[in-house]
Order: sequence, then structure tokens, then C-alpha cells
Amino acid sequence: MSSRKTERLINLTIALLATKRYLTKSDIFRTIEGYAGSSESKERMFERDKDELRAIGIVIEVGGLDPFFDDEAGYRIRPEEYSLNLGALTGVEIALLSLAAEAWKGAALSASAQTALLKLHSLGIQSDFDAIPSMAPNLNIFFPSFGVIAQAIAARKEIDFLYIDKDLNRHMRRLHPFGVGNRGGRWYLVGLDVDKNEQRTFRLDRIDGDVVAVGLSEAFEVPPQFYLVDFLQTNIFEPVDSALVAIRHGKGHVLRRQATITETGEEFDRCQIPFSNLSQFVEVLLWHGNDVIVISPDSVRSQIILALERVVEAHYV
Amino acid sequence: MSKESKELGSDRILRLLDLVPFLTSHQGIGISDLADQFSVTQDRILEDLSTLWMCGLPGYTPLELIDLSFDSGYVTIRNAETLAKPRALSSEEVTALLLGLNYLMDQISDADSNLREIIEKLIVKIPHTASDVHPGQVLVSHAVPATYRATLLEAIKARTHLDLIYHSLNEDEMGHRIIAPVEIRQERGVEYLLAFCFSAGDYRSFRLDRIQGISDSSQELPPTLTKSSPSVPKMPAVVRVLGSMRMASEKFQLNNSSAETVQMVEYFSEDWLMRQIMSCSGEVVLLEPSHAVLRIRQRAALALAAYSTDFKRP
Repeated sequence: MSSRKTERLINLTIALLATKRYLTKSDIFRTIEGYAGSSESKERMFERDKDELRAIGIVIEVGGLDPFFDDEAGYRIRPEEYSLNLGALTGVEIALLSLAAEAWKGAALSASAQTALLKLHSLGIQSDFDAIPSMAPNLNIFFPSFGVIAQAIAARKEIDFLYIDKDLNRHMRRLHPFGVGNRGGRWYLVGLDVDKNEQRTFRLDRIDGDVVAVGLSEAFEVPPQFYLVDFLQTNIFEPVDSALVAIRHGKGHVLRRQATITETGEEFDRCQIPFSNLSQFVEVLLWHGNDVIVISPDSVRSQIILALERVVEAHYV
Repeated sequence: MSKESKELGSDRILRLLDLVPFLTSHQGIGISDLADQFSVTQDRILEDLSTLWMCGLPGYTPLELIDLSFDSGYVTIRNAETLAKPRALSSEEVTALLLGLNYLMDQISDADSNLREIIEKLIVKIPHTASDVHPGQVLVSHAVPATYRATLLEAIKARTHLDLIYHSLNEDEMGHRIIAPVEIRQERGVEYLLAFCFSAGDYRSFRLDRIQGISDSSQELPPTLTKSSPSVPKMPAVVRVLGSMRMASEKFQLNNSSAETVQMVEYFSEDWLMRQIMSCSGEVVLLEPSHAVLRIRQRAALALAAYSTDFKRP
């Protein structure tokens, strides 16, 4: 874009923001610098300028059309639409918003966080970090498509992506995305699977390649009662059962975090541990080898014994 | 022509519009500081300022034009009231701030519940239009407390020593480590602290999410060696996948596109390799190295023995 065009667009923005009434095209061509040539070429210039400003998010209002008076259409930018208005903000609030933006450094939405931060700092309010504990927030979201997903959730747009099944085959999924979040070290995407017409949960690390937003905004409604924290709790994390296990002293630290110790022995503690997913629980138990032994229930115990027998059988030299 | 000159026109317009309120609230800012803030070169900022200098209200006499002075390396702006307020947040900016606040909420301890209240109010204050994320739709928490990260960064800067309580997962041991932190780095979304570990007498990497406590170390210690990255050698192993390829692929970071059942994997710690193989219930079998194969067999046999003797069902 030439400097002259840039100047013209800035001047147009200033003039439309400063005006108290709608400016007609003839007002604009007469007063704003840079509109030249035949009336057709001025028209074309203005139409393009208007589209460009709208494309970058500036709301230009059309008004002043009164059929009785055969009025020409007029244009203006309302300052209240153009500018940031968060009401009065305190220094502590600015500091918290700055931390919220800085958390994105190097992560998915860092460019938008950075421009948001510049706008907040342009309010001219001094940040007050005194009341806030020393924190170095880091969102550390490295999924390249996170921004696309978050934006699609915000705009209620459908998304397409390839999802990896347990045999590493990829299947195209189309989703109405309702929510995205992490828990227990994993990222989950929840939404309505359009082809299956059911609510489903997907793991972000099992999405292959790019997520693509398709179609128009506001393409679907999020169920009014949808609340991600509750959804993940009910569908993934709610304990389905618990097991009584013996854990060797000084071992099994991961399991001990969720365990209730029922009896302390010489070498082992007996603990009751709730679990939400049997096969994952079995994996964790096996991971601990002979430091963790299942006492009950039988279903878990026999599954572990069977697995151990298979491991012994398969490993020989 | 420089690469940077291929910038999109729309990016430039937005930066010019954002420069005015920033300058208005930062009168006298240096050119280099300004370039840093907007993540562009100083030349680019000077071009931007020259363009703004030609802009203003209709009339375009000195009375209406934006008045900028920047010849001494410091910038001041006058006569730019129309653009003096920052632009409204874009929907992606709102999303970034909302998710960031959601995350901060998760990071703030119960002791600072007043801050939580302030954050809750901020979440409401940020303009939600129909097209913005509802707080109930996102959940951003982090296994690493932001206060831990702050303590580590401060110690790196001040070159002080720390006492970590660390859970070393591969050995399943919890213990104290006296360390001199060097740097924090990220790999595949996991944060690691590189530090000289006095307990081990060498450099070690610590996963931030396995640090269970941090305090200042009062122990008198010798100065650390020069700052050099340790190189832990990766070792090769061979596995055969009998069950779910996805499980094997996720556990051993296999090449995702290969459906071969016999695959090469890399490992740093034999304990890790052994535990990962055992957790696969025999669906992934280790073929090499043979000493690790033997250890797995022994370990599984020991566990089986425990089931048949010490922990017999009543």
C-alpha cells in the first residue's frame, strides 16, 4: 500500500470519527485530502477505502437517508464503537490484564495478546503490581490450531479436522465446537459431532494437521446449560469405581495423591484409590511394577495378573 | 528490498491507529523503545511517524494536522485528540484476555481471594458481544504454579541457589535437590528447568510440573561450573507393536504415519523404557537392547510373585 493511500485511509478515519453528523460522499471528496480524478474514480476509491476499513474491524455507519428530502447517504464512525471502553480501571486491574496477556508469550494467541496489551497500556493507567504475588504466567499452549479453535468457539463457526483413531487411521470430523480446555495435563475439545449428531470429546493431541473453520459465523447454538468444567468432570473424570492397593513405602507418589491410606504396614501402605477409566488405571498400576499391588476388586487384580503374565511370556532372551 | 517491506497495508493502518493513543499516553518515549513495543524496526517506526505527520482533520493546515516531534530520538505528539483513545478490542484479543484471566484465576492461591474477586469482575467488564467466548466454555489451568516459575526466573537472574523437592518419575523417588538454575525451556509443550544439581554433581533437567516445592538454599556451596548445556545421550531400542498403534505411538513418540509393527524408539532412561513397556500389558514388546528385555522379564516376574505370595487373596 502506498504511503499516500495509507494517509488517505487515516485521514478518512479521523474525519469520520470527528464528525458529529453524517458526511456525504460529496463532503468527503471536497474536504478529505487524497480523493482526486473523475467522479467515477473518486467513487471507486471511496468504496475500496470503506471496505478496507471495515475489513480491519472499524465500524462505519451509514445514515441520513431520508426519502422525503431526497438525502444523499452519509457516513460516520461512532467514537463509542471505535474506542476501547472498559469503564474506569484501577492499576491492579491493568496489572492483572497485563499478566493475562503476557501469559500468551510464545503461545498460540501471542500476536493478539500483544496488541491487546498495547491498547491497554495506551489507556495511560499506571499498572500496580504491589498487591499481586510475583507470578510468571505461561500458558504454554503449543497446539498450532488453538487460535483457530478458540476463534471458532467465539464466532460459533463449524470446524473440520482429521482425528486419529486407535489404529492410527485419520477420519475427517465436522464439529460445532462448544468448549476447549485442559485438565490433568491434557487438552480437550468438546462439541457436537455433526455427522454422528452427538456430543463428543476430542483430545487436541490426537488431531492431525490443521483445524479449519468453515462456513459462516453463528452457525449453531451452544446448549444453554453447557459448562465445560462440569462436562469434563461427568464424562471423563468422574470416578467409576475404586480399588484397594498396597503401595510400597516411599513409592507410588503419583497414586498417593488421590489415595486414602487405610492401613500402614511394615513395608507397604494399604490405600483406597478411586479411578475414572479402568484401562488407564491398569496402565498406571503396571507402570509401578512390584511397588504397587492390587488387593481388590478381583476384576482389576485379574487384569493386572494377566497383563504381567503376557509381559513375562513376551520378554525372553 | 527488505523482507519487512512486504508488510500488509492493513497491518500498517492498524499500527498507525494504535501508535497515536500509545504515544499520547507515553509522551517522550524513545524511538527504539517504541519499535520494541510494536515489534518492528526503528526504520519502520520512523516511516510510520512521517506518515502520521501528514494526517489530521480536514483543512490540513498546521492547525488541524497531527503535531509530532521526533528528531531528537524521543517522540512527542500533540493535536491528535480524535484518535487519542485506543481502539476497541478485536474478538481474538478478547478471547486471548479472557483465556488469560481464566488461567490467572486458576493460578492464584486461596490466600489471595480478593484478587480472584477482582478477576471475576474483570471477566464481566471485558466487552462480551454475542460472538465472544463465554467463560463456561473454556478451562485453562496449568500443572506448573506461576509462582514457582517466578521464583525460578528470579533465581536464574540473581544467580542464587535453590532447594527443590522433586519427584523423579522414572525412579519414582521424591527428594531434595540443591540446584543452581540456568534456564527454563520448552519442548513439545512441556517446560524443563536446566540446572546444575549439587546433589548429582552435574547438570540436570527438571520437569517443572514435577517440582513439589521450592525454597531458598542457605547451604554454602562452591560456585557452579561454566554454563554449558549437558548432553544426555539418546539410546536406541527396538519394539514390536501387537496392540493399538495409537497407544504405542503416544507412549513412545513413534513416527505417526508408519504402520510398521517393528519400530525403532529412542530413550534417555532405562527405567523409563522399562516402565513404559510394562504399562502396555504386553501389547508393545521390547526386542532390543537385550539387557533391558531381561530386566522387564524380571520385574514382571517379581510383581507376579508378589501376587501369588505376599498379597494372596484372603
